[in-house]
Amino acid sequence: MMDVNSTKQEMVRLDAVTKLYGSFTALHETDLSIRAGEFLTLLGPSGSGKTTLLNAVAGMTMPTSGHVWIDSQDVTAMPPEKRGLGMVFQSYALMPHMTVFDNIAYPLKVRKTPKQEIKKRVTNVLELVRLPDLAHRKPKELSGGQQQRVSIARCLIYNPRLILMDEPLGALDKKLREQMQLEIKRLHNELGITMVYVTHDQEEALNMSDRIMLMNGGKAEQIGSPHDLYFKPVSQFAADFIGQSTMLDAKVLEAGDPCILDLGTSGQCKVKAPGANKNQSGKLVLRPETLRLITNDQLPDGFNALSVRYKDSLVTGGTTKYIVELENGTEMIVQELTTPEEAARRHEGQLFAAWPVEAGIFLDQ
Amino acid sequence: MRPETREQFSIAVFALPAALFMVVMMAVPLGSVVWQSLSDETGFSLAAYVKMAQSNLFIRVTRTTLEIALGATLVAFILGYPIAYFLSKQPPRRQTVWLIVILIPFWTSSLVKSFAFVVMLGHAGILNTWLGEFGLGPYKMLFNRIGVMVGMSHFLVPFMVFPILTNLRSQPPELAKAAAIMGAGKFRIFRTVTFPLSLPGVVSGALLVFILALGFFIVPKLLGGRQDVMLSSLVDFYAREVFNFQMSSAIAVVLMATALLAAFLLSKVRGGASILSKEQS
Amino acid sequence: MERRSIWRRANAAFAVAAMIFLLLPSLIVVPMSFSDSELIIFPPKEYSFHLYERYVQEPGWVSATILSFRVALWTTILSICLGVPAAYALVRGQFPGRRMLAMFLLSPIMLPSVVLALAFYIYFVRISLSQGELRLVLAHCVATLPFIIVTAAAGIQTVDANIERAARIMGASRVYVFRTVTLPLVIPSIVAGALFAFLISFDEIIISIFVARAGDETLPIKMYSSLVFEVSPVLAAISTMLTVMSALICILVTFVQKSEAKP
Repeated sequence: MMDVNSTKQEMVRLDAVTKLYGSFTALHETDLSIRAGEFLTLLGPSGSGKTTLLNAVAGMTMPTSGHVWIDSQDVTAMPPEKRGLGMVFQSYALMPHMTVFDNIAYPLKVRKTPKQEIKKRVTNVLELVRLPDLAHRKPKELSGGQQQRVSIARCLIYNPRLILMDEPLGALDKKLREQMQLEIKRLHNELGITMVYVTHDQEEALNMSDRIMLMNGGKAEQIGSPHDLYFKPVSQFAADFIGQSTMLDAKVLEAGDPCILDLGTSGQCKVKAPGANKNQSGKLVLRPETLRLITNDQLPDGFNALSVRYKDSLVTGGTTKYIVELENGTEMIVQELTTPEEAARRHEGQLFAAWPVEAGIFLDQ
Repeated sequence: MRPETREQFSIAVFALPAALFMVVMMAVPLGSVVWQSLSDETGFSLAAYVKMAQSNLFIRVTRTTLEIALGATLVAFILGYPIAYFLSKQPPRRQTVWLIVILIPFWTSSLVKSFAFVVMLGHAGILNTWLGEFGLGPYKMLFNRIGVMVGMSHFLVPFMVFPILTNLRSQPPELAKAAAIMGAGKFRIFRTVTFPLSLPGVVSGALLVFILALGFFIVPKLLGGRQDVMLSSLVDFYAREVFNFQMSSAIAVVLMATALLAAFLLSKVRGGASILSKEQS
Repeated sequence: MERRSIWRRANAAFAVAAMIFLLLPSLIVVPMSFSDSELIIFPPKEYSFHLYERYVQEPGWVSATILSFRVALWTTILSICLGVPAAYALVRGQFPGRRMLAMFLLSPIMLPSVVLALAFYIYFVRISLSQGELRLVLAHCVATLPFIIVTAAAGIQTVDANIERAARIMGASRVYVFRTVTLPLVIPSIVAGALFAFLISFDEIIISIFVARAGDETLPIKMYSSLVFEVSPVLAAISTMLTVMSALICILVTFVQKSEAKP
């Protein structure tokens, strides 16, 4: 895995960029700094502004205000073809009337590269994306995954300083998508090119990115590593959009370290929430992996526990998700590793859902 | 926003040669016609329009033109709708074959058609000869209103068929199926579902046909008689035989205004397709 | 299998009858053209190529055909050079006034031919343009340009805009993209439009009557004169040839459109 911190050079910078269409704000004032060699994902539902932001970097949309810098160059007024970047589309955008070879050679022909060199470089890049024998086929003869790899090859061949990808795997089925995620990640590791990736699939973002920028309604909700976004969401939207979680209504009984939260009829618990004030209301967010199911005599120290009733379980291979219910009917999702005995045990005795105090996240209303 | 403007300008430039050509070859000449209609040797003059409004000849010819145009539109509809309906019910491959059947008369020269009708409708023509075998006729079908109507309708039917056919093809088949399941008979389905939905196509076709009919020149001249003189023939008469450009321009302006009005109405019809990109919003 | 209702059958019969009516002129002229008589009769009593011989031998017919052909060819070429780029601008552009420009460029379709004919007639006098063929080509081009633009625009719309965007991002200028990506993919539509433009110009009569100079007779003009003054049986032969040409072009265009590669 590339050590992003060692190359502090900034590749892309957005400075107070906005985009308005008449009275509709597609992108609110946004700042962003992307390091060279980084894999940054713009994640969000449709209409969140992620594609608008990508297009601003690409030069296909002119910002209403603000500046875009690529590699210390102010490109805000520059048309796309002069920005030295590559782009991959969901629809592959391959030229249907050209062979795979000609498609990949196109950018080199634009740059008037000599024929011999074109041949050499196209062959190399086809090896890189693992499609060495398909040079003379036409796009319509290839599968979706193969077409997308040709599309990526077409980007890589002229060594752009930045590659943008607009939901490139959206048209592929699940298995192929997972394969391609690994492919793209492998290429990123091998070549170290800065990549900006747009998707609405949070699993994809978590799998592939160095950093994720979560967007909603034209604004950036949170930016951070996958780990940050998963275990430390800063808003309910972030907690909700990424992964599954249990969200319980909570009110601060006592501020401090740790805080004491009142969870209504379900009981009380402790949480680390340094900025919280007494009587503040909000939500307690718990990730399934941080929860465990225990019976009364196993209550450990430093853990919170709530009394629950078993409802359902879903075995998804190596892990099992348990749905349990609190007194007031609210459901909690608990994820544990699958073991043979647990299933029989669950229905007997008093059941508790337990989690370490540090795992709880308190989010403001 | 200057870079964005520059971007759009670089696309708009592609249309510049065509735009310039049309300005020089169409807008200016048409403007010249309008100007010509308002001027004689002494300068600005409304004489031509005054004459048009008052003269019996013009009133008669205008009435004839409207009669013929509306009549031809009606006949084109009566013939064209069943054809469009029939075509819409054909399976796709056969539809292509039948479409060629419609396209051929569409692309046949008006002179070829006129010649054929002269031969068919004449006093000793094919139709009268055939009717004569049954002891009927001979009927006068040429150089009169019948000749004009037959000739014009023949020309206009394909123009009526295409918009209606497009509309019928775009109607989702589930609508008719749903009505049938609810118990409606074939005719009721047609009357209450298919036909009302096809009205935008009918109106488009009718307006298009009407505009074309107004400007008809060849067919009335070759197949019609003295009672069937249309405004377009007057334009020709005043321009090329009498050399009264003011008069002919005035008539042309009236024709143009009527056609533009009908075209404007046409653009307002719901369900009219646009040639502009579907991406534009 | 749907039960064919009585209405459907009646409509089908009526529709077929109407279509036969539409085809009648084209069908009648063919046997007539092989008639061996000086009179116009149908059906002909004896058959020969006599009328075709007359077409070739009688002065004016062949030269009129050649003139029509030349004018149609130049009209088509000019319309394509002007119209295809214009279609590109209208489909891909988002500049203000785009709709107005489209309406302006397509307006000849909406105007009666006599109006345009008169406009050209007066205009050519004003600017003292006396070169016969040039007058015809320029005038015909105004009439054919809308067709080219519409067919080319329809073709361009089938090209995924992302393909062009991708090409631009890779460093190609707009003109380069147009030349290497858009045009090759739009060729079937352009060919279809060109064939129809050729036909429109070749058969054009109203504008030609006003615009042609005394000595320049296009084929339609000569046919028109014959129909007005003395109907010649040679018209049957000419009509047949024209009908065959129209039919060929229609079939050609259908094939060209079918062969359009689907992405």
